[in-house]
Amino acid sequence: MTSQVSEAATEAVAPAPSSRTGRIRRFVDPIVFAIFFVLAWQGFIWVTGFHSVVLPPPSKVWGVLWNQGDFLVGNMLDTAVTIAWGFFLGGVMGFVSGVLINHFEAVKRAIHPILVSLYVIPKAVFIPLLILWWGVGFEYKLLVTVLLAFFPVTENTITGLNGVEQEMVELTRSLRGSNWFGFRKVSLPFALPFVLAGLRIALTESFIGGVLSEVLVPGSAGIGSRIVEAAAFSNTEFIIASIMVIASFGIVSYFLFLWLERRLTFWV
Amino acid sequence: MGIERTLASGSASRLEKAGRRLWYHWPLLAVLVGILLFWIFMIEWRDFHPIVLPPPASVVEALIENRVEYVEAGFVTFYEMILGFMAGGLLGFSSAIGIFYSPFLRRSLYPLLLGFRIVPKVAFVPLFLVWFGIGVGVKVALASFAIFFLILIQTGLGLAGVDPALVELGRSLRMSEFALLRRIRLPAALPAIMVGVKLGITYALTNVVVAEMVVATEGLGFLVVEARSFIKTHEMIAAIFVVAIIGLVVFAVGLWVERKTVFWYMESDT
Repeated sequence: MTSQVSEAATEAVAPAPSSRTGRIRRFVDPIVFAIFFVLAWQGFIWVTGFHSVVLPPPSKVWGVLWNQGDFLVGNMLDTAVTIAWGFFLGGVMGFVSGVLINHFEAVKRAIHPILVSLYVIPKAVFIPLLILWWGVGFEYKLLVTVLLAFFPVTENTITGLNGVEQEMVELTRSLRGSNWFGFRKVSLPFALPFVLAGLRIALTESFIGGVLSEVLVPGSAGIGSRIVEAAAFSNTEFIIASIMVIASFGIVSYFLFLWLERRLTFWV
Repeated sequence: MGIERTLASGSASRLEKAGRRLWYHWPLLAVLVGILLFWIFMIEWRDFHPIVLPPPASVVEALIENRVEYVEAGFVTFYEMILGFMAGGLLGFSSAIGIFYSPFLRRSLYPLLLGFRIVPKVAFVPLFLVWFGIGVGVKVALASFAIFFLILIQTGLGLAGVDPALVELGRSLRMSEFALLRRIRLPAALPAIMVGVKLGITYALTNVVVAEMVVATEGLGFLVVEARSFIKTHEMIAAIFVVAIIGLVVFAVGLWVERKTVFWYMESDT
């Protein structure tokens, strides 16, 4: 239900071009658009005369990026640690849970509805509770990130394993005489694209988890806290610069993961 | 298991069917009861202070006592959610159509869309706070912003996935571009768009609640944070519970809408 469709979407919308001009333009167009956007931004300020606090001009944002670059990146790396660990742990736990749920009917009937419900409700509401029980340190942030990253992987693992043709599994089982073999050679490879798609969603969710846990606890390490603190000082250019840093990290990690995904499922 | 059920339920009365469905879900009920028992057990065993882990009874008490407050806050949250969803949805939908017809925009926005999508929308709350001040505006803005990207991408996906044969058929009938869009492309894109709607309603709620937690003035998210600042944990858990229920209801509505509009499209895993 909460399917992996939306993630696959962005590839379909802008398919990889085949011609050489197409490939060059794929690189050049975003840059052209970005230049155009910055100019429009500056023009917009000139036309509407918004005060620099409300909408800082590109020059100021660039100033923050240039002068406080290492500060920004340092904090982003702190957040990245949380994100990475949460993604890894959440992914593993999600996968294992997905396999268990799929394999044991009783577990599925018992746990799956709970998991789906948790997937669907705003998990951010649990954060004050988590802060109460685990304080405001790395543990709490890790928990939040795992909480957010866990469910997409579980859901997609279940969907992937469900789709395996039973005949194939039974054939391999009868040939080898063990369930494990069938699982390893048939179910897993078939489910792998789904699991990886789920992990891709989990990556986005891990980012959200990492930053969200920091936003609600200003004063701790990480870029989310810095953003909230900057808001208290109406330091809008810092906020925009931080968003750009997060976006860059996000794009890089997303494409890295996409590359990894393609390498692992080259046969699809 | 499934086949026996289908065969057996052929001639059962409604009561029998309801009973059978209840029976089917017994592991779930057992787990829920187990969680409740575990909760009580933890309090007894570790002797938690009611501030850390309040007994279920006090949570229920808080629920009943503050029910008016929850309903009021619920209305505010719901109103913000609907506004955000409609604004973001309409903008995303029209932008997607615009982007579809412009290859330049499509190529240039693709990586930017990805980047913006992976940035947690929370990070924008302080920005929107500066722009819209404290109040309904921030939350609606955040929800619209989040929904905008979702609907944009989903509509784009839908439009990109239209069967070319259908488009060719339309062209052979000398349909105008607009008619092509209206009668062939959009209906074909509808399943993907509806997935976006279904996910979007839940997503709007999540973002509104998060915004309410940060910009604490009104709404259900605010109630959670407020209870925390008063260190009334039982009220906090009660508020969380209300949000959870609303989340489920909203998702059910989204599912229903999707089913009603694209009943002709067989989705295997819904």
